[in-house]
Amino acid sequence: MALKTSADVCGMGHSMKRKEDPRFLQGQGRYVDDLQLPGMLYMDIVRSPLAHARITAINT
Amino acid sequence: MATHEITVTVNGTPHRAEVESRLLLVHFIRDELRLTGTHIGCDTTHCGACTVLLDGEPVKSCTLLAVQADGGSITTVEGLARDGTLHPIQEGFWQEHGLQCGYCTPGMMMTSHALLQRNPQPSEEEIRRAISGNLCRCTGYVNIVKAVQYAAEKMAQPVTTQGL
Repeated sequence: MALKTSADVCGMGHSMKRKEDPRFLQGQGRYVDDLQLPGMLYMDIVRSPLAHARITAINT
Repeated sequence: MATHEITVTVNGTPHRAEVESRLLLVHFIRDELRLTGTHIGCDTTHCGACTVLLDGEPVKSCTLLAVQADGGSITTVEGLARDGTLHPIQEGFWQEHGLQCGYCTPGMMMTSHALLQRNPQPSEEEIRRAISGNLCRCTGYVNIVKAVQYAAEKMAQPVTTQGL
């Protein structure tokens, strides 16, 4: 016999709607890329094309 | 850097802005208008997370320049719900568990929306073909297809509760 709670109780044997979905569905999720903090900067990583070298100057 | 004045209607609201030639549409939407529901997934036109509707057509906004949208009308995920009532597509994704992390969801819904506009009763095959440019990495496509089918059915009902 499959255990199942009644429809009004929900729970066992029922699929549950997720509480967090409405904000995701309306574009109101908050991902890291959505954050804006005062003075926030962007970073790019520039890798050296040389395996072993000495940095003598950085041109910005 | 050359700038251009553009006028774009976004979710029904006209916006006039001075933009750099190189500004991508997705950056205009996210950074200038602060509509962060449109996501950047890959920056290379593969994943479809940035899909919005431009004059009703789904476009990947990381592949268009903001200036290309000049004079156009854009719909983003923020424009789907009406007065707090979810659009049938949003309802479908919720009901059928069509999302987990939600990152691909806005793009997925905008593409589905365009599909249902031109083909209100798509077959599973047609749904899968339509969303083939939108990648989901956690939920998988079975429930997303069910979500679109749910929306198609809901939208076919007489107009009483539907949002758009």
